[in-house]
Parts: sequence; structure tokens; C-alpha cells
Amino acid sequence: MKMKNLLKQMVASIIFAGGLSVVTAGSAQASAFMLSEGQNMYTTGFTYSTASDWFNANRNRVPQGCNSSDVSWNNSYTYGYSYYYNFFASASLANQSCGVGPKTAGLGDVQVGVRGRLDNTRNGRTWELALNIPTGYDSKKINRLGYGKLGLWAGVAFSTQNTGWEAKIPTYWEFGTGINYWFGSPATQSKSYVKWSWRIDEDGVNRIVLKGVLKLSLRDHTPEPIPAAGNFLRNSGDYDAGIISAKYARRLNENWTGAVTIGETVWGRNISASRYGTLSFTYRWED
Amino acid sequence: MLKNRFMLLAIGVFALMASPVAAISAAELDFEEGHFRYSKEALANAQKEVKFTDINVSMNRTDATVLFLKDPNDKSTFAASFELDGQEFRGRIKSFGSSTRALRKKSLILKIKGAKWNGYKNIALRSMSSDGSLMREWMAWELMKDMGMMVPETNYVRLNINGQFIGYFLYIEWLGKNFLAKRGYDAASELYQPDDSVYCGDFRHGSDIERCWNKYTQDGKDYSSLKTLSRQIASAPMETFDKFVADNFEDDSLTNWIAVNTLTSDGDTYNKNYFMVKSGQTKKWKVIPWDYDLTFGHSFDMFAPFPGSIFNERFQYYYTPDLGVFNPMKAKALLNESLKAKLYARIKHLIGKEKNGPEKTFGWFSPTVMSARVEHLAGLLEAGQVKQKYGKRSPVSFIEQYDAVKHFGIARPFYLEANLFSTFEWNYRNTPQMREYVAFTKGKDLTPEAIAKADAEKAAEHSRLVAEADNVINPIGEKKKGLDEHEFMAKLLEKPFTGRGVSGYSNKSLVVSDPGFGYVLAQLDFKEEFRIADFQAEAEAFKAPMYVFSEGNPEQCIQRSWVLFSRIPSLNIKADVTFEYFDEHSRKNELGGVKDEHKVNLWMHSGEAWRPLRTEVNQKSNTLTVKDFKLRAGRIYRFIACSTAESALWSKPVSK
Repeated sequence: MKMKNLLKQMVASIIFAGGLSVVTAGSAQASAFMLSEGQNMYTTGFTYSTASDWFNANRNRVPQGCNSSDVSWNNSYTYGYSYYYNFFASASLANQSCGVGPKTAGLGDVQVGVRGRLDNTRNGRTWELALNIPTGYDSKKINRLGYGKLGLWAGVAFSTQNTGWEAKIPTYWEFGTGINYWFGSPATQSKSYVKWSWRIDEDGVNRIVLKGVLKLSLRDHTPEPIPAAGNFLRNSGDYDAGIISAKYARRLNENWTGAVTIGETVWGRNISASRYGTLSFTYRWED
Repeated sequence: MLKNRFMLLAIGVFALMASPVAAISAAELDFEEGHFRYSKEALANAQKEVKFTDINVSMNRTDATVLFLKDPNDKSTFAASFELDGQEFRGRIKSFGSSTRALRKKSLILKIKGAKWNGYKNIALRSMSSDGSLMREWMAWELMKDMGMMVPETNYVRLNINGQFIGYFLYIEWLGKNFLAKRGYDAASELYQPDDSVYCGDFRHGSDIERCWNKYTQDGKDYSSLKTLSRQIASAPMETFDKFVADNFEDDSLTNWIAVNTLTSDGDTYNKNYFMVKSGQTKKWKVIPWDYDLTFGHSFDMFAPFPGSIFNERFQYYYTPDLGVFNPMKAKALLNESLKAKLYARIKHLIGKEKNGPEKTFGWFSPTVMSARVEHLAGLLEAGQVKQKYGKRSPVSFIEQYDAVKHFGIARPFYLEANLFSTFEWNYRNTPQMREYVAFTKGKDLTPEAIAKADAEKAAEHSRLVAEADNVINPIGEKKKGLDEHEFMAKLLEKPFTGRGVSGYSNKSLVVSDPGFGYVLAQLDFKEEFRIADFQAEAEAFKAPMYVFSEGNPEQCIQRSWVLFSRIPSLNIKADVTFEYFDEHSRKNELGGVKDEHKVNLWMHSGEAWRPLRTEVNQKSNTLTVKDFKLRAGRIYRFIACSTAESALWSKPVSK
């Protein structure tokens, strides 16, 4: 039962990261939880994101001149290599458009990483390292998938959910923070999140997750401005964002979990004020 | 005055009960004529040499620590090498099990790579963490082996990791193809086990066989054999269920399984903890029991959240053979006259009521043999258990734990005798679950209406007898008279459990039990010789004491009062006297406002004044013992058990 809850929370993180990848390709899939050795988890989901405003360089919310309409198919996989290490990978196929400009479709940044334990005697305390590998980036397009540079993510995550008996507690908090460093022009960005998870029923079949994410650019690099129609910065490599989301997840059977997530960028700089929705499914199995 | 009233009370009591006598010897080993008998072979078997195997594991030191401290649900394995029976193996080690995963001392599996030990690649070691006595599972498996049942090999293991003693574990032979092959089953045989996460491996109508069961042999996806069996069990008439069993089961494994579950009081089995095997040769089925930690009195508290539901200090021995969840195999076996007779015969043989079987098992579960077995095991385990790295108990706590198992071994035969083999014979109740199956019966007494009518008649008769006795005890007009300090000694408890015990063999122990309910009311371990002892004990249950000492608070007392007296006016004798109280689960107990049972002591009144008694408390078995109590001729003793500020001076844990 404990593992089911744990996995669902991992799903929450991954789905959410996947959902944001349309806007911020290359986000790390931070999670405070480790899979056991031999466990596998695959998540797939579709995200639709739209925005008519953006937060400009002065953090003012202004019309962006076109309505963005982005769709992505997000996929992630985590493998429990051993008690001490999990490997993960994620990739998104995206279709981005805004106004009359050309649509951009293709594979976004691919992320591969490793997650480990900060405390070997329990779950819910992790570190992770990941590489963001550019794939579908095309500098000639206004809508660009990812950043076109190799990135390195390093982060830690903690959960108030204790292990074992206490897995039955109905709610818990999770906190994560880390740095995304780009080997190139995009500015280094810190990312932190706080998550509140509520198990609605005794068996943990249904769960609500509320989450807030704060991304702050360290402004150590000056990326190439990429103005889109309406002169807003469609894919800025230097941005801040505050994002909130709510998710409902339901365990469908022993292997499958379904989830619906909605979210919005409520604060930022050089980023669209997007609203998005995600429908995702997670399948988990053991070797 | 007192004697006259006593005589009236005695008459009243006998109006309520047919008074079979109950006497045992807990220590006289050659005792042959007592209430529960046993063979010398059975007693010797209880005190036989017990096999202990040493397993030495070498592994990374961090891994060795993590193995026991990690997330209970983590299924990771760790590289290790094992030394066993003088052989070296390499492989991996991991924790397994369900509830005990949450404890430090986890059950373990050693997975051997590239070789086999004894034909097996997996060596399963159960931690016995839910059992403070470390005896329950071992005894259950020994019982089944001695009964000739097909069960896995088991033995105690001393596990050492990197040279450090981790603790006692129980090796259980891996149930799979090799287990079956060793017992002559061919490759076409099929082995199934209920999935213990879904609680539905019970053959009830509509249960989804593929969801509720796992298949471990043959084609793992073909459940057709088990589906067929399930349909057959559902449709087989209970009147001829014995014939169905004879035609479809290899031997008496079904009735033996129920017998063992009944004796050990295991209800945690009928929808998840057992295996079904179908022979490829005979095409017949056999039940293989599984998982005996919640036994021998260890109570599952269904009203407490985990872990308190399993890891608790509750205790019970008062359930009939239908205990546990509904399973039509069990129900029909208990309703079928032939199978029920077979089951009863087996139980009678094992508790020492009838010598209708092998010498080795005659009286296997009799109080004397069980006491001897528990004492023997305790002697083997006690020195090592305190050295366990995980799961150790203090010596005092360990005594309390195994003493509770011993109490179960004494009390359970009395309970079964009273309920199965006495005046008011127990019958399987026609529960709502059973109604979907009773369409096949012609037994008029098995319809819900017939059961309800019989219950009503029985209740009316009981009320009539009680009223009759009440008029004798409390004549109209005197009933509301206040009792003075001395008179209350002569007043019988209201609606008490009542029992009488007689022994004429100079035995050292006498159990007085209620013949109607089978509860132990008092146990007297005599310290002096006698020609004949005849004691009556009564207990008023689930009620605060009507009388307490002046500064006492009835709510801080065990919600039970006891009366004990000798029916032989001339007998003066010294004995250790033990009483018990109910603490089965969080909603059925007599704790009242008592928070710590270890801070309770007995108080005694014999007509003069309340007097506190030095009391040994066993919180696990819910027993209170006064050592060297002088029972004087002609006295009626009234007892209560309360917690006061001074109780710490009078109460102490149970000792050897």
C-alpha cells in the first residue's frame, strides 16, 4: 500500500514536470521517492497549454499578441536499478503554435538522470543529477523546442511522509529544490517546489495533490532573445515563473493509475501566463 | 447464617448448570486418569531435541544495516554470501513478508545464484516478529507434521550477519515445484495460493478466481482447474459434502486443516493463508496450510489501526471452529455430519479426550503436554533471545509472552471441551453468508427460521432458570435490602460465569472452568498435598465491581469480580491462584479505566476487610496470580483487581 502511494506521488511529480515541458523544456523530474530495485514505472500523458498574456521583463502581465496553443505528448520512465540508485529518462513530443506563425512540432529536450538516497535508511530523501539533451531545437523557428544547449540538473527533495506504518497518514508535504545549469547561453535557473498530497480514502485509491513551483533565473547568462509574433519572448532562456497546479489521481488497478492535472503560471518574467491541463496514465511493474 | 445462605446459593447455582467437573494436572507427568489425558510418547515428543540451524551471512556492512532499517515496502536485494550446512553459496538477500516488514526484525529471503541448497534456490526465514514468544509458528508446524499432514519443513535458525547474531528465525521450506516434486507430485501438478492483498481466496460465489489466486506451477495463466473446483464446492450439497471431499481431495487435509486452525485459534487463513495443490497423477486436491503467527491466543484487533491491529498485547482463546472469515469449504465441512465427526474425533484425540489415534499425538494439545512443550522451548530460546540484535525482549517480557502461550495451551482444551463435547454442543451458525449455500440442504434445523426459533426457545429457558434461581437466592421482599459489610460475601455475583473443579489425585494444578462457556475462572497450583479438592469459582464479567475497598474507584478496576471457595469445608490448603479477565480487542475488554495492566493488583475480602494481595500480572494472557495463597476452610473469598497509587507496591510482572 505504501509503495502505491509513493508511486502515485512520483507520478504527480513526473506528470507535472512533463506538463511544464512544453513551456520549459528540460525541467527535471524531481521526486523525493525511490523505487525499489527491479521496479519500473512508465508515465505517458497529453498536455494542452494555452496563453494570451505574458509576463514581460518587468513582471507585468500584458497581452502577448497571439494566443498560444501547445500540445505535447510526454513520456517518462524510471527504473529501480538498485536500492541506492534509480535511473530515469523523459522526452516530449510537442506541437507549439502562436497566432499565424508557423507551428513547430517535434521532439523536445530529452532528459536522462540518476536519483539516489540522502538517507540510506529511509525513503523520501533524495538527490538527483540529470542531463538535458537538446534534440528538436531549431534556431530558425520562432517556436523552439528546448534550449538547444546541453543542461545539467542537480537537486534534492524531501518528503514529510515517513515510511512504513506511517504511510497511512492522510496527508504529507514534499519539498524539492535544485539548479539547472546550461552549457551555453540560457541562464542558470533555480527551481523549487512544494507539494501537498491528500489521500482522500482509506485505501489511497483517490488522491488530490496541490503543488506550487517557483523558478528563478540567476541571470548569469544573456540568452538570445527570441521574439515571437507580438514581440513577446516565446522561448526565453532567462525567465522566472510561479506556477500552481492541482491534480486528481485515481488508482485504476494494481498496475495503472490515471490522473488529471490543471495548472497556471500566475507570476513570472519573460514567460507566458499559461494555463494547462494534463491527462496522464502511469503503468508500473516489476522485473 | 453464612452457611445457610451459602447452601441456598449452591442450590441456585446447580439449578443453572449441569455441573461437570474439571480437573487437570499440569505437572504430574504420569497422570492417566484425569480430565485431559496424554500418552508418554506425546509428552516425550513435547520435550524432544529441537533442531537449530546456523546460517552465517557475509555482506557489505552498509547493506547489512540498510536491510533492516529501510522502507518496509522496499523490495531491493543486496549481494551476500551464505554459509549453511558447511556449504558456501553466493547470492542476494532481501526482506519479505507483509506486516512484519514494518518492524526492524524483518523476514528474509536468501536467493542463491548458480547453485542450490537442498534443491532450493530460495531460503525463506520468517522473523516471527509478531510473536513475542517465538514459539507459535514452530509449534503449529510441528503439530501438523506430527499429524502427518503435507506441510513444509521448518526449523529454528540462528542468523548471523558479518559475525553478529541477528536473531532467531524460522526456516520454512519454499513452496513450489521442488516442494511438490520431493513429495511425489509430477510436473503436471498445480499449486495455487490466494493473493493475500485482495482477501478473496475463499471459493465464495462470484469470487474472481484469477484475481483472487496466484498460480505457481504449470501454466500460470490457466486457472481452469481451480475454477472448476470452486464451482463444485459452491454447488456440492452439504449433506453429501463428505462424499465430494472423498472424491476430490487426496486425504483428510481439509478436516485436518480445520482441526489445526481450531486448536491454534487461527482465523487468519480462510481467504488468504493457505495453498491448494492438485495432483497431476490423482487429479485430486489437497489443502496446504500457511501462516500461523496470529495463533495461540495472539489476537487480531480489528478495531485498532495498524500496527496495533496485529502487534498488540490482546489475547483470546474463545472461538469455535467457525472462527475466521466465511469459506464454503469450511462451512460445509462443519455442517456435514461425517466430516464434522471426523474433525471432532481428531480434536478429541489431540486434546486428550479420546485415544482414537497414534500414541505420538494422543494429548498433543492437552494442558500438561502443552505446558511441558512451552517450558521446554522457553528454556531453549530465552538465553539467545535477549542477545538478538533486532526483536529482543527483556527476560521479564519474554516470560510474560511464553507464559501467555502456556495459558492458551491450558485454557483452549477446556474451551473446546465445553463448546464442542459437552451438554450444549456447538453448531455452525447459519450466518447470512451461509444462506446462499443452504438451498442444497434438507436439514430442517439449518434454515434461518429454525435457528432463530431454537435460539428463542433456548433464551426463554435460560431466563426461566435464572428467574427460578434468583427467587431462591434473593427471595422477594429481601431483594432490595442493603447488605452489610459481611453479608455481601455471601451474595453471589449477578449473572456470573460459574464453574466447579474437582481433583482427587493429589495433583498440583486444578483448573476451574465454566462448563457452559468454557472460560477459565480460576487455576489453582497447589503447594500442599491433599486427598480431594473441590473448588467453585465464579466471575462476574464486563461490569465494574459492585463492592470495592473504601478508597477504591470501581472505574479503575478490572471490570470483573471473582468468588472462590472450597466445597469441602475442612480443606485448608496453600496454592498459587490465577484469575483471568477479558482483553480480546479494543472494543471487547474489561480494562475499564485501567491504562496499564501492570499496575493492577488483586484485592481479597473474606468476610472481614479488603486486603491487597501481592499480584503477578501477565498483561498478554490477562491473568492475575497470587502466589502461596492460603485457602482456609469454610471461607468464601471475593476478589477484585484495581489500580491505585499503591498498586506499584503490590503488582509485579509474571515470573517463572
